[in-house]
Amino acid sequence: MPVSVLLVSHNGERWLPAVLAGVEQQTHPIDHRVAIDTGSRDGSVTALRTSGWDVEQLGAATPWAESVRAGLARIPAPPPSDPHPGWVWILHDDSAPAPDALALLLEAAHRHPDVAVLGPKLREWPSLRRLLEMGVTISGTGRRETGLERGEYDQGQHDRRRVVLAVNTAGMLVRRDVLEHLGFDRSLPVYGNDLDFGWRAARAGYSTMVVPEAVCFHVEAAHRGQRASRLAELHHRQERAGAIYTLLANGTGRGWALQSLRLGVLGLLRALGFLLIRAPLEAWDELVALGSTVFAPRRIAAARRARQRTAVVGHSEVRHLLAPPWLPLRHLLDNVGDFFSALVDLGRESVGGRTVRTAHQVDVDDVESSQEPGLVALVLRSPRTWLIVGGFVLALVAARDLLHGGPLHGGALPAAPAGTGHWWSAWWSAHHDLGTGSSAPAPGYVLVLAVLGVLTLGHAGAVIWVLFVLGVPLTALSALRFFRRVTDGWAAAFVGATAYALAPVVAGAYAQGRLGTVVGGLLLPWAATSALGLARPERERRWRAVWRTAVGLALTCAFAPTAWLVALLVAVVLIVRRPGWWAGPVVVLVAPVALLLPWAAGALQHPGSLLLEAGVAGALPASEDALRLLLGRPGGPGAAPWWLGAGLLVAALLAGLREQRHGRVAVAWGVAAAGALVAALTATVSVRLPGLTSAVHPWTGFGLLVLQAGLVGAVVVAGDGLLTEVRAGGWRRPAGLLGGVLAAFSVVGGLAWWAVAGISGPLERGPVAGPPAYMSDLSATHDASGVLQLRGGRAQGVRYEVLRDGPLPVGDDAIAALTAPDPALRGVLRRLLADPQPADARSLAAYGVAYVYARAPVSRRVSAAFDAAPGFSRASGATRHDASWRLQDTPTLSATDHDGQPFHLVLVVLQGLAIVAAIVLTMPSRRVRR
Amino acid sequence: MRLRPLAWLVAAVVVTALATLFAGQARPTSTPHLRGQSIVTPQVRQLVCPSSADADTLSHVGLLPGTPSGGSVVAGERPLAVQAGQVAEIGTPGRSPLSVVARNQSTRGIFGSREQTGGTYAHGVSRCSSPRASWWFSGAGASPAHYSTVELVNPRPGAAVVDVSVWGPDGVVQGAGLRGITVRPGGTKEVALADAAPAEGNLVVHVQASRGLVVADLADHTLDVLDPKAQPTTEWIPDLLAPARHLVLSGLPPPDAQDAPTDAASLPSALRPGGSLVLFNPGSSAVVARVRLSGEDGTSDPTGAGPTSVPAGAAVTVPLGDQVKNAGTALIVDAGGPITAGYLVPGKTDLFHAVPGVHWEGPAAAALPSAGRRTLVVTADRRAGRVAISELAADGSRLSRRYLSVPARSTLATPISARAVSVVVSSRGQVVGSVQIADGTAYAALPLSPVLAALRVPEVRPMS
Repeated sequence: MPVSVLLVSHNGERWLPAVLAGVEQQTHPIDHRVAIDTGSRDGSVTALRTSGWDVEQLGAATPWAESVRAGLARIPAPPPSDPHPGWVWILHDDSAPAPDALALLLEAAHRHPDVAVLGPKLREWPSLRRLLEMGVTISGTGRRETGLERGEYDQGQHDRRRVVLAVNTAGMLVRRDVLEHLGFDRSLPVYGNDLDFGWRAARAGYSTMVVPEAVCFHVEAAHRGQRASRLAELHHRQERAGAIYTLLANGTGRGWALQSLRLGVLGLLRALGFLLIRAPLEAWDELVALGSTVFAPRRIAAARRARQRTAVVGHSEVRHLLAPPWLPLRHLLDNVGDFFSALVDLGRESVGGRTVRTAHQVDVDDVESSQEPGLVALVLRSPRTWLIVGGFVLALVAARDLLHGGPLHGGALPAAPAGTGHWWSAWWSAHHDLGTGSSAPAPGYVLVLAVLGVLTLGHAGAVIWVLFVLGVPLTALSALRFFRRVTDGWAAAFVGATAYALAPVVAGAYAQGRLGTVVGGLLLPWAATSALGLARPERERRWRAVWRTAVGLALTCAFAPTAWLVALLVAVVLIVRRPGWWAGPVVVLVAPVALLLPWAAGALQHPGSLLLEAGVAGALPASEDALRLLLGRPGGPGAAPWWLGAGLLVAALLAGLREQRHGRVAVAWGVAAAGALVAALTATVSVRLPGLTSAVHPWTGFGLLVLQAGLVGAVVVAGDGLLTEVRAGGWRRPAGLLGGVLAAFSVVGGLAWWAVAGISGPLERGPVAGPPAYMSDLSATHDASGVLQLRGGRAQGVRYEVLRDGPLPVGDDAIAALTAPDPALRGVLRRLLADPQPADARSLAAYGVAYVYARAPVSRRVSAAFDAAPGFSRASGATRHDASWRLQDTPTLSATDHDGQPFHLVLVVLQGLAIVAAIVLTMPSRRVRR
Repeated sequence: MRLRPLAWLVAAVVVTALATLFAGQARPTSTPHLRGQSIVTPQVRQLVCPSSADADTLSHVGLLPGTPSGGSVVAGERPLAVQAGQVAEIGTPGRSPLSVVARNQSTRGIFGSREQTGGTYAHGVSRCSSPRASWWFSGAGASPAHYSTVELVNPRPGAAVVDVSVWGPDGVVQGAGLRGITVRPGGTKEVALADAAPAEGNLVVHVQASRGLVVADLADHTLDVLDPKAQPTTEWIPDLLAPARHLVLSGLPPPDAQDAPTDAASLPSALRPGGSLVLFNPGSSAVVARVRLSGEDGTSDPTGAGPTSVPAGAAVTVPLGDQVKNAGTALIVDAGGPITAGYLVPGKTDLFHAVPGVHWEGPAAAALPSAGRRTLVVTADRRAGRVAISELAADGSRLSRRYLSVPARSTLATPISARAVSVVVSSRGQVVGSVQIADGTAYAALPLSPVLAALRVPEVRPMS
């Protein structure tokens, strides 16, 4: 029974000595040693010849199957007297067998005469301890399944002989007649050829067995990119193409179409996924692999025909050798678990300030790793934890009146819609069924709120509630992250984060329902943290910071568009100081326009809207004197006493006394100046929008918040390490102490005021005043059953609005502000109040109005006019003092505006692409060994 | 130029301070005051002249001098050829009300009146009114000897739903068929109070349209039930817009001209010879009303008629007898709360109801009956007033224009030319007035109709 060794080599000089030594040390005699070298440029051929091997040299592009066939041809055929065809032991130039490997394989072959193909246990080389493969199969998605955990150590836990679908060609012992009969598929590279061979062998009635006692050490050089070859450079493409080819060529005929579709879709998704993690070459490999397999049906058909010629058993008889169909789902769950595990590790790293090593990174002999504190201990020790806990507790105490009740609304905050589907629809739709119809774009923050609604399972009210009730601790966290980057110690950052988070509270932003300032204040530190990276020396990291800053700025501008003006001022200063690198700041300014399409396109037609933050335009108008503005009090109800902020201002001025920090304090004051300039602009101008009957004045809250942020920043950078300077002596000592005390007074005083006063202002939780529920319910289900709501009377005029589905919710108010009122409807109402005619009721019905509703106190003029008007009949109101009428004509929408925003779909698609691109560009590049 | 960080710091602080100072100094640009009301010219104006069950009628429809051309007037279903300043006469059988529709420019000057013609005791005269929601009438009756009929006319395209409320000396008078009376578009409904809500005494009637608008007229009659040959007297009771704390009743006839029944027993128990003042308090608590006579010499208290307590929801009759001494007299009623007031003088062959005067600004006109002596009676309220009086001939030409200055709280009477077919009285709101018509021993008072050139309507704007 002759035994021959067939070794295929290609640039394997590094490993050949060990491989050849391993062959020499085999305990079982070897009759022939044949090596096929495929174009090696190193000393592989010399090493082989020196060791006495019969070497044939073929070209580098020689397919694996050809190499094996050529090697087989050089092995002499057994004599006719020998009934056994002989064995061929195939080795790779990076697979070194254990001395007894061949003997054990042959012993197993003798014990199991029906087995035609045997394979050893493959262990990792160079560690020699981790398992690589013990037989292999393939899943329905083309994944190579070994049945082993990644990095699993060999402890004999899998040591049992078993029949498998295939074994790796590295160390494969195959009967010569079987190899001659089946051969390897020449259209496959070495990747996947083993699976294909094993599958064909099984269909041909031959068994393949793994023999764990026989051990072979494999480098997997091509797969790991350690081999200098074209094949190694394209190993991902080749592996993927091989797997898909194997599945389609060997699978059942009935499931071929479905399998092709499944693999095609999967391949496209994999390509998209690679793009998202910034691995475009791998994405291209996926597409090329698909192109050479799924989209090459003739090639697959030919392969299937070839397999039919050698198959003797049906597909069902080999199905048990394939991976179970649920295995891809298990891998998905494993990936999800790995993702969250990575998040936990990331949290541990950020909390513990150290790198967490996972199991496969830690050696069992590593003592340090066993002494690493647990996650709970790390969390409890972190000041961030106490900031979160304290902040949340105080937030709940302060918002005690808002913890239960109806929807959150009041002041500048409309109620949230019934569900986040409303926000998705507003973002997606080119036309809005509100009022008399509108083609105005939805505000930019609608998409952000809709995405946040995914976390609350579609509950829109919960999104708003979280932002207002838990906004302060979230803002503090956001600010802490920034201040930790600019300080060395925790104390100053902690105080700064608290002071900054309190700024919108003491300004009255929460109490007045100022959604723009509340959320803008939360997002601003994120953008600022990203902006710190603009000064990085590494180009790639600098550009990553550019995109992160752009995304942060876009999110902030969605709620408070005046943030763009602040960014503009900062960008101008940056470009002046570093004229050589202007592209980054320009991208930061321009990218938000694309990210906020289509609202940005609509807002550019009404530039005044860029000065209005999220919320009801012109609500709670107020003005204050310069001192109060400087102390962060824009005016309006719910603001803290102005003198609580005086300490922070004085401390910020005293910050300039610390000479070593002049530069950074100047930067902080520069931010404050930018905020003051924006506040001055918004305090001066008045904005006219099509949907507003009078000019309104933007609220100066966000500009003053930036001003306060600058003051806080000055105090923080000057206060960091203050105690050291205080102990140094001199006149600065008392000044520094005074500044610290004043700043602490402002913070502590602000906290106390917040906790005691709570959120006391127009913001409330309760029923929203509006039409009776039955009217709102009807209009929610029928677009043409709107309610015309009236207010006012003879003296102050009558104001009207057409409501569909209740009072305008968050987001719709901004759309209405950009929508010019229909003059024809106004004319109808004037006639109804002056001298109503029957045609007026019909005209009103054509606007999709089913009810007219006037909330108490009802003007007698209005009441008398509609009582007298033909075509109306009295209906019931929410209270007995309200007045309601029902139109007798059937309402339609024939008079409403049905036009949509031009090119809206194009703008939405562009926005989507811009968002995907921006997110991809914010991520680090994936380093791939190629 | 590279500056030291300290210089940048100082610059930033200065910029911050200046910007904040500027922001604090800036005041919002003045928001233009949005008018609460605007003036619009109605495109359509309707007048309804009441029907008369007892006699034929003659309607007079006129256009104010200076009314722009370009409009149209239709009376009944026939176009009416009437120019500015002219008055057209329409004779109708009288059994049905007459609806007059003015369109476009003609809405700015239309006015009208109706008089009874023929009949021994039919000397009634009434103005033609525009539809509205609320009507008050004082001095009605629902007994065999003193009975009234409410006529509801809906000249508008939509249906009207009307409630009729009746109060007497004992409070509200319950009656069937007084609630939810539906008057179809263009239709008429009559409510005979003696049938629907029989009651004794002088009654007060309130017509309220809960849907649509109507023109309500109340025809009042007295009848000597003891005399089988007696003929009923008839008169339309002038309407009041709404209860008020201060009322002036104008056009009162002199006592010696009254054909007063000599036998008081021939009158219903609630009616006394001479004049009777009927007061009604719609409020929830009693009010005290003070009555004074206003003449050319000022005001005086009627003898024996001191402050009168008017209970809530009850009609009180104050007999004044012959307190009214001459034709140029008015009754001024002041009360602690809103009340209604009416003055009636039952006669043997005539029935008189005074006109509750309303202040007006601008022109007020009356289309004069063809027969009888016409006297303009003007009462100045708390302040002296001055009116301009224009008398117009049938061809629209002005017969005369004069001014009349009325001292405060005084009443002056001035005769109107026999050739005048209409009189236009312009006021700035200080006076109330009426036209007194005397035809032998029969007296009637015709209200002056403020001519609405335009409507003051609330300004309408979107809610923002």
